[in-house]
Amino acid sequence: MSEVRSGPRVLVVEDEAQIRYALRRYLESNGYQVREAEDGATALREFELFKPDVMLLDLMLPDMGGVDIVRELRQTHETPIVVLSAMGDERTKVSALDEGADDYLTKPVGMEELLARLRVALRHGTRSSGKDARISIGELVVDVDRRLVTLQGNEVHLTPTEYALLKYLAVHAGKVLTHTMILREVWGAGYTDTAVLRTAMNQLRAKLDVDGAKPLIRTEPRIGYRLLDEA
Amino acid sequence: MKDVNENSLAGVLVSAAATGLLVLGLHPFRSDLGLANVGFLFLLLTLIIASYWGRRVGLFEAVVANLAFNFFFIDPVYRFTVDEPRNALALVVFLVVSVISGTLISMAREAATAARARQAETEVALALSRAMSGHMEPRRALESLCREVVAAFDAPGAAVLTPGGSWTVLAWAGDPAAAREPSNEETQLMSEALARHGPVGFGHTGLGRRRRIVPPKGRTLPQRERDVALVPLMVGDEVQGVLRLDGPIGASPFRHEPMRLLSAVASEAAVAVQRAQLGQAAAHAEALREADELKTALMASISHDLKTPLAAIKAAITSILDRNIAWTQEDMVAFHETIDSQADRLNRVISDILDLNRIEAGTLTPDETPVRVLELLQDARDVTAFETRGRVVTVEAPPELRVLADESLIRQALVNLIENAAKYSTHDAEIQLKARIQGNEALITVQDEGPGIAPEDLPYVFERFYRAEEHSRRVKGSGLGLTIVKGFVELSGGKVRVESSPAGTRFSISLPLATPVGATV
Repeated sequence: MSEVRSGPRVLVVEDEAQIRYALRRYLESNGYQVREAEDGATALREFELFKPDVMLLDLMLPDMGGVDIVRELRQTHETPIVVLSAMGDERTKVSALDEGADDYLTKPVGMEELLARLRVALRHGTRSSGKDARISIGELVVDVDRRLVTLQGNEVHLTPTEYALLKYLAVHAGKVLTHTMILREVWGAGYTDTAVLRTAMNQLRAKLDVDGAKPLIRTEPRIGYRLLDEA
Repeated sequence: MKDVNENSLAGVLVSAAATGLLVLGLHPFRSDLGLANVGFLFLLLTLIIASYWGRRVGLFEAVVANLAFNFFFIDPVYRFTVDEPRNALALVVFLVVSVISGTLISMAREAATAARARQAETEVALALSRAMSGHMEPRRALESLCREVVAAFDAPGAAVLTPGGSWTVLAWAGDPAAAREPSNEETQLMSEALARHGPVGFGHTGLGRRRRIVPPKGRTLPQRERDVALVPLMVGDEVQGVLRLDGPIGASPFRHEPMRLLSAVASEAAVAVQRAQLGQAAAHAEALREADELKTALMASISHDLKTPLAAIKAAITSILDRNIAWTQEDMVAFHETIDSQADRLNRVISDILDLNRIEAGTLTPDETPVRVLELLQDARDVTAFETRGRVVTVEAPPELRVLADESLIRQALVNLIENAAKYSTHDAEIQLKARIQGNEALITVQDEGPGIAPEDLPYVFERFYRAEEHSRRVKGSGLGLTIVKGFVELSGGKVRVESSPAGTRFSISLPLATPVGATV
C-alpha cells in the first residue's frame, strides 16, 4: 500500500471523525492525496491552499451548510464536487446539485462505489475544462459543430428540443443534472413543468433505444437525470 | 284565531252575568229610559265583551243581549214575541249592528295581538342572531341560542342535541335538568319528529302535535318528561340535530303561536350545529395533519441519526473488506473501534426512540428506591466519558444525600443532560454536576458553559424535535433527548427546569429526599 504522492488530490469534508478517518485511509490506499476538513470554514481555506482535483463534501456541517459551500466555490471554481448526505436531507441534496455539485452519494455508502463516483467526477472535470466540438460516450457521438448525433455510426434524427437536451447531458456526462437545471438550460429560466421534461426525455430515450445499445440515460429518482459515463 | 279560546267559558259566564246585572239595573227605569237608549246600553256591553273575550264570546253576548232586550224591554214584555213590526226591525238592526261591531272590534284586537307577537318575534329573532353572531365558537353560539329560546318562551330549559351513536347534548341553557341525556321516550319522540320533519311535543308546552305520554305501570313520569317539545333541526334534507324545549311555557308573547319563532330558531340552530360539526371535522383534520408533520419530522430526524453511524460502520467495513489493500495494524484497530463505537451510538439512538415510545405509551412503571445522588452523578459522568471527551466534567454532592427515585430513569435523564451539555459546549469547557438540599427536595443541576439558549426558545426545549434554529444544522441529535429527560424525571416524581444566559445553561432536576431533612448528614 504505497501512497503515491502524485495521485489526484481530494479534499474530504466530513465532520464525523471516524468516517473521515476511514475515507482518508481508503483513498490514500488507492493513490489519492487526501486533505481533511471537519467544518465549512476549514473546507474553504483548504480548498484555496490544497487546490484539490475533486472535493467530497458532507452536507451537514457544524458551521455552515454544504449547499452554501458549493455556491461559494462555484463562483470561482469548476472543481468537481461530490456531495455525501444521509437520507434525511434529500431537498438539501437537490439544492446542492442545483448550485453546481456534480454528483451525490447517500450514506451509508460502500468505499468501492465512492471511488467509482470520484473517478467519474474527475473525468468530467477534465472534459468540461476542454472545448470539445465532438463528444464521444461509448457508441454515442455528439458532433456539436455539425449538430450531428450518431449512435453505432448511424445518424439519429432529433428535434431541436431533444438535441438541446442530449447535448446538455452529453457535455455534462457522468454528472447528475437536476430537473431544475435541465429545464433552465433547455427550456429557459422560469420553466418549472417537469412533465414537459419527462415527455421529451421519453422521446429522446426511444430514439436512442437501438438494438445492442446500452441504455445511456439514467433516471435519478426525485432528483434528475444523468448520462452514464462509465466506458 | 285561537288566542282567546281558553277563557271562553269564563267569558260566557261573565257576559251572562253582566247581561243579568244590566237587566236588573235598567228594568225599574224601563219606561223612563226609552227603548233606543236601552238598546245602546246593551250594544255597549256587547262591544266591551267582544273586545275583551273575542269574537265568539262577542257573538254569544250579541245573541244573549238581543234576547234579554226583547224579553225584558220590548212589548209585550216577558215574552219573546214582538207586537210592533217597528220593534221587530229594531231588534234585527240591533242584532246585526252588535254582531258586526263586535266582530270588527275583536278582529282589531286580534290584529293588534298578532302585531305585538310579530314585533316580539322580530325582537327575539334579532336578539338571537345578535347573540349567535357574537360567538366565533359554534358551541358558544348554540348556548346563547338556547338562552334566547328559554327567555323568549319563558321556559324552564332548552337544549340542542346532536345525533350520533346516541343523542348527545351539544349545548343547553336554563335549569340544569335541561342538560340531561334524553330518556327512551324522548329518543322515540325525536325519531318521530325527524320522520315527520316537524316538531313533536307533549304535555303543556303548547307546541306541535300534542301527545299524551302513558307512563309505564307503577311509575309516574318526572315533570320534565311530561312537558317537552322536540323540534328537528334541518339544513336541506340533512338532520343536524334536535332542539329540545322543556315546558311548561310561561307567559310569553309566543305562547299561542310559537311555530313561526320556533322554525326561525330551528333554522339558525341547524346552521350553527352544522358549523360546529364542520369545525370539529376541521380540528380533527388539523390534528391529523400535525401528527403527520410530526411523523415526517421524526422520520427525517431519525433517519439521519440512524444513517450517520451506519455510514461510519459501512465505511469501516467496506475498507476492511477491500482485498486490494493491505491495512496496517493501526488502521485495522481504528476501523474496528469505529464499528464498535458507532454500533453503540446506533444503539443509543434506538434506545432513545424506544424510551420515548414507552413514555408516550404510558407503559413505564417507575421503581422508586432511595438512591445516593453522588453515585448517580458519578455513574452518569462515567457513561458519558466518550461524548464529553475534551470537556471537564466535575461532580459535587453531599456524600449522604439520597433521593427517592427510579435509579435507571434518573441516570438516563442525567446522561441525556450531560450529552446535551457536551453537544452545545466547546472543547475545554466545564460541565458541572452538582447536588444540594433545597427545602424538602434535592436539587441536582447540570450546568454548561455553552452559548446559552435564546429566551424565545427556552419554553420549547423539552418539546420533541425542538432544536433552536441556529443549532438545527450544527448539532446532530435526535431532538428527543430533553423530551426523554422531562418524561423520565416526571415519571420518577420529580421536576425539571431550565435557566439560561449567554454564559451557559443550567438544567435542574428536583426530586423528593429519601430521608427527612433532619435525618440527613
